[in-house]
Parts: sequence; C-alpha cells; structure tokens
Amino acid sequence: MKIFKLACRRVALVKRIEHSRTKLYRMALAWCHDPMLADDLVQETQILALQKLHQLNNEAAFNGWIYSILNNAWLGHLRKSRPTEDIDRLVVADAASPEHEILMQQVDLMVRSAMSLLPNAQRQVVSLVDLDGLSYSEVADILQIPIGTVMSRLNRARAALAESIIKRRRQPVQTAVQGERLDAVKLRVVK
Amino acid sequence: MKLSNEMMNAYADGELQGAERAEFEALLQNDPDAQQALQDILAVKRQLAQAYRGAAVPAQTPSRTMNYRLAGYAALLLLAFSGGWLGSNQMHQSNAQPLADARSLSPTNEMLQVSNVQSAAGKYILHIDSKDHLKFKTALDRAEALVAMYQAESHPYEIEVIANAGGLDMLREGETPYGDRIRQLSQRYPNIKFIACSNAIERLQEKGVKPNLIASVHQGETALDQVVKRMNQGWTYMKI
Repeated sequence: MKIFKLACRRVALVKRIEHSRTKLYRMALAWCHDPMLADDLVQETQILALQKLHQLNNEAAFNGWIYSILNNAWLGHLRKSRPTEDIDRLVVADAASPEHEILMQQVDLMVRSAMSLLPNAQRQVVSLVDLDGLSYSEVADILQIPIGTVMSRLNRARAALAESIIKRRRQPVQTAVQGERLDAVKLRVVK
Repeated sequence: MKLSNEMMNAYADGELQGAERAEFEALLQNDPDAQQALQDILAVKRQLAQAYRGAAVPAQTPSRTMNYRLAGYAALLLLAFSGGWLGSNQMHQSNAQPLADARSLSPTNEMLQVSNVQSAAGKYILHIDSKDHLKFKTALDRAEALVAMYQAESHPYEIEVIANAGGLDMLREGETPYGDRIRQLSQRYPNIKFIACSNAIERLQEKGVKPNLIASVHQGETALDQVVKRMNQGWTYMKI
C-alpha cells in the first residue's frame, strides 16, 4: 500500500497548494500592490511548493511553509528588479502622487494605498498578521527575523496606517479631481 | 506603569496570555488614552483584513495550470526515484474476491479513492507490482469482472491495469502465462488499457534485459505518476 499512501498524501498536499491560491494572491497583492506581479508570485510559489513537497514533514506547518516560499519569491523579485535599494525600506507608491489622493477616497482602496506607502518590511509583517491571523512566532519564522523585530515593525506599521486611515477619515475629504483625470490615474495605478 | 504600544498590539493580536493578559486588562481600565489607541489598532486590523478580501483573484489560464501540473508531476517523479518505493515487494496477499460484486466492495485496503476528489463512476486503476502469477490472474479477473458489470448496465467505463516492479512480467512476452488473454482483452475491450511503468522498463534495460512487451501494452507513464493523475481525476485505485 506504500504507493497508495504516498500518492494519497501527495494528492492531498497538491490540492492544498491549489486551494491556497486565493490567500496567497491576497498576501502577494498586499506586499507588491501589482495584480499581475502578485499573480506571477503566486504561480511561482505554487510551483516551488510542489517541487519542495518532500521538505514539508509536518503538515501542521503548511501555512508558514508556503508563506516562506512566497516571501522568498517576493524578495527574489525585489533583489532582481531593485538591486541597489534597501528592500526593507522599499515602498510601492508615492505619497505625493494624485493616485494616492484619489485612492484615499474609498475605504478599501484607501487602506491599500496607505499600505503601499509602508516600507516593505513593515508591510509584510502587518499583512501576515492581519490578513491571515498568523502568530508573531509564525511571522518571525516566515520572514526569518526575531520576534522583537516583528513586534516593532508591526507597531510602526499600525501607527502609520492609523495615521493615514483613521485620522484622515476624521477630517473632511478635500480632494476633487475631474472624471477623465480619475480614469487616467487609475489606469496608471493598477499597471 | 504605562502600556507600551507593542503590548497593545500584542493584546489586539491575541498574543498576551494568562497573567500577562489579566495585568494588561487591569491597567487598560484606568487608561483612556490606551483604550483609544487600542481601538485604533483594532480598527486598522479590521480594515486591513477587509481591504484585500475583495481583491479579485485572476483566473488561472489553462497553459499556466498545465505548467503547474507538469511541475507537480515532475516533483512526484523525483520523489519516486529517491524514495525507493518501486522496489517494494512487501505487499499483502489479496484473496481472490468474488468478482461479480466488485462494485459492492467497501473501501478497503484494496480499493480506494481519495476523499475530497469527486469520484468518477466506472473508472478504475488496477495496480500490480508483484511477479506472483496468481496476482496476474486476479488482476485480469478483476478487470474482466468490472467490464462485465458495466457492460451489463450499459454504463461507460475505463479501466487501466498498471504494472511496475515485478508486476511488469505480467505484460512481458515469454514471462507471462497470460499473453493470449491480455491480447484478447485489449482487442475486445478498447477501454481496458494495460500500462507498463516506464521506470520499471528502464530498470530492466539498465540490466541489459529486453522488456519484450506485449504489443498492445502502453508505455510512457510511470506508475506513481499515473496513479496520482488518475486519483486526482477521481478514479478508484485497486491494489492487486
């Protein structure tokens, strides 16, 4: 029955990897803010996960394991595309841009936009904790950083997010942009 | 003592337990600033979780799915080689079952499907890996009984008999006592397919032995690869 048990375990894990697509995509999107890139990262993660299946000894560790692979894919992409920059400090948007102003008008987009202004290191920590409810020690394992660093990055991330989301919402929105400009701007944002 | 922001975050994230948590809650009661800060943290948490929930996941294109599956099967093959299961001969002796009631067999060690995969009626993969002639006979009897059963009900069916390790002999001219029967079955029932594991063939060739397979036998797939593929498609796996 060895072949059957082996095959069964493989089938279950392959299914689990397939079913992780949505949550991986959301996490990747929270990190890179580029739908196409997020899709590529998820694809890469799923393929790598399949190739590394034999490394997963404890199935309870599946979540941490697959997010580590996603993290490596994301960092690999950043190292290749931005070889000279400090990855931890990388933001994926520009606060002074009109895109940012417009996105701030809709709650979800506003939150995403606020996220895009966080340095990468903070954005990754806060999304792992808040999008998938991972524990601090799981996040520390995935990102290969000490728990203390998880806590301090989380603290800074949330403070910055609170600043742009909550405090801003308490103020009246002042931005007014014409319709055609809005479309043009949106197109650029999702490129 | 002032509550630190790290503590408030940890509390909001359910990271404080027992005494630490109780102490935090006691201090929180008398600290309106901390209460407000905690509310802000919880609001950020909620909104952040919400902000990506609506993100539409792009549909997987067929070519991508294909790549992904191929990569998966490549990984399985690698495992098959490294795991050494192909040489396993520690298989239990199966009793010859009354064949007409193959359908009524409860899922036992010999007849299995993968849960969470929708089962495909009339699709069976029979796996033989032993050179025991009695097992050859059992495999052929079962395949034939399944055909008889589905034909009697005019129900479509598909059966694959896959042989690896010692089981390969069942499909080799000069080694199998059932050559004629296999040829006849293949001819009479196109929906029975006999498959020789490509790894097993390779191993024979490495030893300088010609496999000399019966002409109607299919080649190209490895046993594990094929079994996983079929199980993924909801086929019932029967170990002979």
